[in-house]
Amino acid sequence: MSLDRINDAIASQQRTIASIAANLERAQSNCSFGTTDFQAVARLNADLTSARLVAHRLDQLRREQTPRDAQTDGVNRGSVFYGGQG
Amino acid sequence: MTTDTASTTSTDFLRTALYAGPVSVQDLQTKAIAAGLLPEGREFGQQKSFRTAAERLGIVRFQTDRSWHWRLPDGQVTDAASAAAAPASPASDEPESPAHEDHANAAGAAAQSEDAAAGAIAAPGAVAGDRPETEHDRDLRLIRAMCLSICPSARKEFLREQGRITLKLPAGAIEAAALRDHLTVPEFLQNSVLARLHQSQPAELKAAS
Repeated sequence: MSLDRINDAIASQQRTIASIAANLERAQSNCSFGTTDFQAVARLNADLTSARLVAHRLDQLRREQTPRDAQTDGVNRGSVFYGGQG
Repeated sequence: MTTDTASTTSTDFLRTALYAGPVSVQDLQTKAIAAGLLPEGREFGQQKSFRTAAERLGIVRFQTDRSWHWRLPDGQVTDAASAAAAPASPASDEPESPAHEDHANAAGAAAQSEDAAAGAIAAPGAVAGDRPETEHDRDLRLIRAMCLSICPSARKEFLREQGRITLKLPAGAIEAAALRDHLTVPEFLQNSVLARLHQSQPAELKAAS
């Protein structure tokens, strides 16, 4: 798998994480935790965790693909694990 | 993994991956490999579990810039997000049957500071003096709402007092449990909730954590 493809997937995943996190924040701010709303929040939490796990794994793949000497520039482009809000 | 489990997993994967909008099949393939749902070298679109999941979700396929993209059907994400973000119906102060006396109603209310100190969650209208909910109050309310979700037995302890629903928890119980696991309170609660949710999650995701 090429580094470019991994980077594209990471960028896409960061958008996903940001979107879920924004909706989660909105849901937590607005809802008063009726049963349905709490389930939605819990689902968003689970989605966010899953999305971060994928991002984390993509980050690992990127590191595996990146030549060792290139990993010393800056902070390796930063971790995507905590990308987005939340 | 059974076929049914695989397609359920793929459905969850697709729903999450397409949450923010259209994604190219190439990106989906890379993400699916990262998620451990697709062997490297296998074509995303050829995987039966993803085709089944796509049918289940009503995925829309389209081509732009000579690459194929998938997206959720119109309104699906918006509806889900709106449902999650919409203010919930206020919990009623009117007496209701025990069947409707669920923990979420109780959890949905702002807690009084003295109730919070005692580990109680009160229904709307229970805030003394109608003072605005502080950020700390909100954190307590959210934390305790999550606590209820991981502690079904607590439902038995719901009390009805003066037309409001209240749950009594031992003071410091949540904090003590978190401390026991060497976690912060939010980490403890989130882990607990997620642990329950992940019982039905794919082995790949659990392994990836």
